[in-house]
Amino acid sequence: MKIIAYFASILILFLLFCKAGRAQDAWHYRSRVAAGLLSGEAGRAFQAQWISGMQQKSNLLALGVGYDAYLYKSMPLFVSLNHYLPAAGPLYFTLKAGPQLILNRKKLYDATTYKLDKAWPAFYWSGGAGYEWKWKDAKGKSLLFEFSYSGKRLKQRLSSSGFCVDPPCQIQTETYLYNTQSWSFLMGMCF
Amino acid sequence: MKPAATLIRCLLAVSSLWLLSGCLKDHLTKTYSILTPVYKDKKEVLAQLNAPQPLSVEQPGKIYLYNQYIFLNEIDKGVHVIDNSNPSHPVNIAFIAIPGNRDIAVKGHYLYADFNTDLLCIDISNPAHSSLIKIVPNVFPERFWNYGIASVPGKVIVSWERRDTTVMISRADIEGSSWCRECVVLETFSSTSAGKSAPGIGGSMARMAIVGDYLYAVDRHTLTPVSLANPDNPGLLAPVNAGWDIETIYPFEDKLFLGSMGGMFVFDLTDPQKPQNLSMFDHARACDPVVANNQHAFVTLREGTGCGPSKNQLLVLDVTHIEHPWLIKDYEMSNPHGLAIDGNLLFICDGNAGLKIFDASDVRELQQIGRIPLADTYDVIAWNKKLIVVAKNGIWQFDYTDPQHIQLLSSIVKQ
Repeated sequence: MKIIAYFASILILFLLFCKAGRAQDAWHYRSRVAAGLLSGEAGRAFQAQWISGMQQKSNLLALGVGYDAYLYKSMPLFVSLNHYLPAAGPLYFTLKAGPQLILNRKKLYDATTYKLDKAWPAFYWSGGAGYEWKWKDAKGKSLLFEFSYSGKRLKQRLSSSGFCVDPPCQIQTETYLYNTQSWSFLMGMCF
Repeated sequence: MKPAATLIRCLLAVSSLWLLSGCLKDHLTKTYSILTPVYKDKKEVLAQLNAPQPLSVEQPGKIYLYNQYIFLNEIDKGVHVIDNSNPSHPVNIAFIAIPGNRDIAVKGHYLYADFNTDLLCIDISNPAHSSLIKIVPNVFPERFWNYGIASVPGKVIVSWERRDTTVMISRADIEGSSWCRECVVLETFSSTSAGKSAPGIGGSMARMAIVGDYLYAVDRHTLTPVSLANPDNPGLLAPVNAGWDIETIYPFEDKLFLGSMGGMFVFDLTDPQKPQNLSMFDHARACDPVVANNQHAFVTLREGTGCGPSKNQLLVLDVTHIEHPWLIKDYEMSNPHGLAIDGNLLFICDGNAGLKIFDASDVRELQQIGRIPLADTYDVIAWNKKLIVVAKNGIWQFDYTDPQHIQLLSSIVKQ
C-alpha cells in the first residue's frame, strides 16, 4: 500500500507538471504501449509496459506501469527517462526505475508451512536503447523496438513454527533475497 | 528506413536475447539460522534450580493456577512463580530454572515439571527457595529434538547457539521451499499442565493433568499415570496406549479428554491406575486442544503447523453418551488455540484475532458477545470470573463478571 501511495503522489505531481508544461506549449504528450520478452538465467518470460509522459525537444519524462513474469509475477511502477538522438528520433536511450508490486507472492514459498513475516519494498530497474520507426502517413504514430538490461530486487522474510504440535512454538525464519537480471526486448506502438 | 531493414533489426535483437541470456546470473540467496544445542550436566543444572532473582517474562508458555499463585512456563527455561493474591497487581516473585521445561502442574506444596524425558518433583513451600525432591525418569519417553538431536544421557540442553548463514539458492529451491531443511529446531512432543480439576487449574494446551491422587502425562502415543498418593514421592505406573499423535489432556470429573491430531479420545478413570479408553471421535488432521463439560466437548482445529492441512474450526460435540460422541456443529475460526469454559461462557484464543467470548447457552447457535484484541493468543484459564490469558508477549488478566464489559485487571509482558 505504501508503494501505491508513493506512486500516486508521483503521479499527481507529474500531472501538475504536465499541465504546466502544456500551458507553456514547450512540451508535448507521448505515450508508448509495448510487449515483449525477458530472458535470463531463469528462462524467458512475458512482459508488457505502458508509459505516458511529456517530451520537450529530445527528452521524454514519463511514468510507466507494466507486467513482468520473470521468476515471479510483478507489476513495476516506474519513472522513465528518455533521450532521443537526434531530437526527433528515431534512436533513443531509456532509463526506468521504480517500485514493483508482487502479484503472486504465495508462489514464492509454501504457504501451508510458512507465512510472510516481513517484506521489504521491491524494486525494478531497466536501462537500454530503442528505435522508433515512423511509416508513411503515420500521423505521429510509430512502431518501437526497445532492447535493454533490466533487473528486479525482492527481499522477504518467512516464518514458520515448523512441525510443532504443542505451542507455543519456536519460530524459525528464512530470509530470501532475489536479485534478478535479464535482457529485455519490447515491441509496440508509440503515439 | 525500409520496413524490411527494421524487421531484420528487430529479429536480430530478439535472437540476441537467446544468445546473451547465458551471460546473466540471478543472485538468489536464503538466510537462515542454524541452532546448535549447548549441553550441561543434569546434576549441575538441578543444583541451580533457584534463580537469584525473578526473571522477566520473555517467551511465555503454559500456565497453571494454584491457590494465589500463577505458575507460568518460560519455554525451555523454567517456571515463573507469580503471586496473584491481588489479580490487579500480580508480583513475579521467583523463577525456577528448569532447562527444557514445557509443562507444569501443582499439588500441595509440590510442583511437577517435565525435564526433557523426566518428571521433576519440586518442593515449592517457599517458591523463592524451591528444592528438588525427586526425579521420575522416563515419563516422557518420546520427547526428542528434531534433526538428529536427541536426549543425551546425563546431559540436558540448556540453550541453543544461533548462527545465521546465507547460501545461494536456485529457482527450484524458491518454488519448492518448505521446511527449513538445514535448521535444527527444537521440537515439542512433550510437556505439561492440567485442566479444570481438583488441585489446580491448567490450560487446555496442557500435556499433564492432576486428578485426585494421580498425575496423568501424555506423550505422542502413551498416557502415563503417576501416583501422587505421596506427593513428595511420585511413583511411575504402567503407561497406557493412548492412541496416536496425542497433543493435549483435559480432565473433567472422572474422564480424561485427549486431543490428538486425528481426533479426540476419551478415557475413563474408574480405575485411576489404569485409564480405559471409552471412545474416540475422528476429525480431519489438525492441532486440537479440547475442553468439555457434562454435555459437550469443544475442540479447536487449526492449520499452519505440522499437524495437517486442516481448516481453522471450532467443533462442538455432544458427549452426553460418552461412548458415542457426535458432531453437533462446526464454526469457522481464524487460528484457534486454547480454550476454556465457564458455565455458558466459552472463551477461545483465536490467534491474532484475539480472545473471543461466546455465549454457548445454545451450542447450535453460538453467539460471539465479545473480543479482546491481543496478538497471538494461545491459552486461557477462566476461574472465579477472572481470565488469565497467555499470548505471545506475556499474560493478561481480565475480570468477566459482566461478560459484555470485560475489564482489564493487569498484565505481565515482555520488556
